[in-house]
Amino acid sequence: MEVILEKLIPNVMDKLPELWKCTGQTLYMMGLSGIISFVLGLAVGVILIASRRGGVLENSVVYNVLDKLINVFRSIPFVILLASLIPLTRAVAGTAIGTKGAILPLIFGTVPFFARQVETALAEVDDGLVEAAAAMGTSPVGILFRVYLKESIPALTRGTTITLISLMGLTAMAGAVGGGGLGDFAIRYGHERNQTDVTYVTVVILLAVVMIFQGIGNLIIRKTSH
Amino acid sequence: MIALEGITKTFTMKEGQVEAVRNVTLHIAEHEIYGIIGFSGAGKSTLVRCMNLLERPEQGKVKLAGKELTGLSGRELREARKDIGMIFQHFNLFRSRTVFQNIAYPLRGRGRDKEEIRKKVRALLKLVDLEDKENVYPSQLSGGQKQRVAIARALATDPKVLLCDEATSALDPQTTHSILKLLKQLNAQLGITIVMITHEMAVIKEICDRVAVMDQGNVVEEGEVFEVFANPAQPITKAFINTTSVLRKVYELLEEDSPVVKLAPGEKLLKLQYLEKSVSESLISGISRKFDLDCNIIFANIEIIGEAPLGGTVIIANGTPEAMEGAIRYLNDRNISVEVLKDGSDT
Repeated sequence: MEVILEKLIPNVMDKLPELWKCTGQTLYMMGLSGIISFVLGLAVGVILIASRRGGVLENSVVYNVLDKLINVFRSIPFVILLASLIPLTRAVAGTAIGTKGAILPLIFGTVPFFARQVETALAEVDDGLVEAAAAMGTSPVGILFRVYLKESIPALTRGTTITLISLMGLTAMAGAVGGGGLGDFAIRYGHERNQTDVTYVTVVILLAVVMIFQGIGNLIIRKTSH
Repeated sequence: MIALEGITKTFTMKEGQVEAVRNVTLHIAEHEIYGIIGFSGAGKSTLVRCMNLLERPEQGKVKLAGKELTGLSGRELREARKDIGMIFQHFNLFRSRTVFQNIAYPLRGRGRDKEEIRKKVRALLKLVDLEDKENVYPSQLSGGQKQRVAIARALATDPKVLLCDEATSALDPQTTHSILKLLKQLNAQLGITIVMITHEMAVIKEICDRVAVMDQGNVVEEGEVFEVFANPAQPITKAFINTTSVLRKVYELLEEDSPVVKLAPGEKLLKLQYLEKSVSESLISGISRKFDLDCNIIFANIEIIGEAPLGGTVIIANGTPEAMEGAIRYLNDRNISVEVLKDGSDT
């Protein structure tokens, strides 16, 4: 087995420890920024739905501010966001480089995207259900949790899966600030040193990650759709 | 039970202001089944939403069992809403919850323990005859079953009033009938006051005690179903009654000069209608025997509303002019209106 692999992917076999380290870094960046972005994006999405016109806690100021902010952050290319956030990153994380320095920009890049996904998912909830819940004496906050969030679990899962996979794409760019990770690994060896086997192996690992996330997502959707 | 006083509700649309409900005053008594009928856009759905303040009227007061809802704070209003159940045209069941969880929904978060909730839900399932569907999701139920679940859910908090917003409009006639039967049974069994919003006269006829007719945001006619049916004052009410009566067909036949309404000299085409609740007597054979008239029934549309017959018949009567006059007087004395649609001697 080893012999075959040495022949097929010599450059990868040379730096196996580094490959595992980079895989770990990618998973770390995705995990930490993913969890934080999930919580923040969910909160922003819920606030958007609650404050929109005709929402259970209608507030046009809150809605408009959040709506415009999301648009602004979504139109900034991630590489530029990464660079322009350096001072803030340094203040928050203590450093603007390395894996740790990539987390904050990743959150800034992901939250607006995920918040839109959440907003779209929650907007699909039938107004009739909201009305029925209100008629049964559910409070506005209760409606957000017991109706909007509970009823759109399949749609939220779909949005989460899409977001996680796009987050993985963003982590590849984190290499620009020395963030490490698989994307960085592929660029440094596969692309710059023309070690194509490194590129292929990286793609296969990323593909496996995508498939696992998509698989888990689909499973949850299937289990929660009735 | 419910008192609406001077309710006005306006919606601001792009095209300007739309007055959905205009200065409506209604009193709905305890234990009654009250119907509100109107064509779509008449404001009836808005009016019923004013009863539990899903829509807040700009003007007017809403009182439930003497308590003024319009004066309550948000929290107090939510508490008061447990006294008002509501069901909808499209059922509005939670897709992600089973039948059991749907019915348990209004009971959660009210400080009841699990065992108590389970008992209550089981009792409600029994009441609506769906005991075997406890763990099924709404998507697996038929329309009628979904509405039964919705009724059970609306009754979970033991409300005093049940608001039904076009509750049978999405159902086929047979299912409609079974749901109406259930509502009538609940009204008798639990003494719950029911408000029915509908555009179907048949629904009003089948279960309502009193009815209000709405048109363009106004209540144009109100009263006991029988009275309103027998003596409709407003054109719109007549239009609704016509939707269910075949008697109007006679006018079409007259216009077409159909052979069915061809009269020989001495014959008269008469339309007889019940005006008030009266004991069902054998009227046709009565005048036939008493005044020696030959009666030929062309149309008959008699329904039992509030335990009294309502409707009428169109007959061709043949006899002497004196006999005819006597028969008409006889019928009038028994609160039957007689209209001579055509006289054979005229032609």
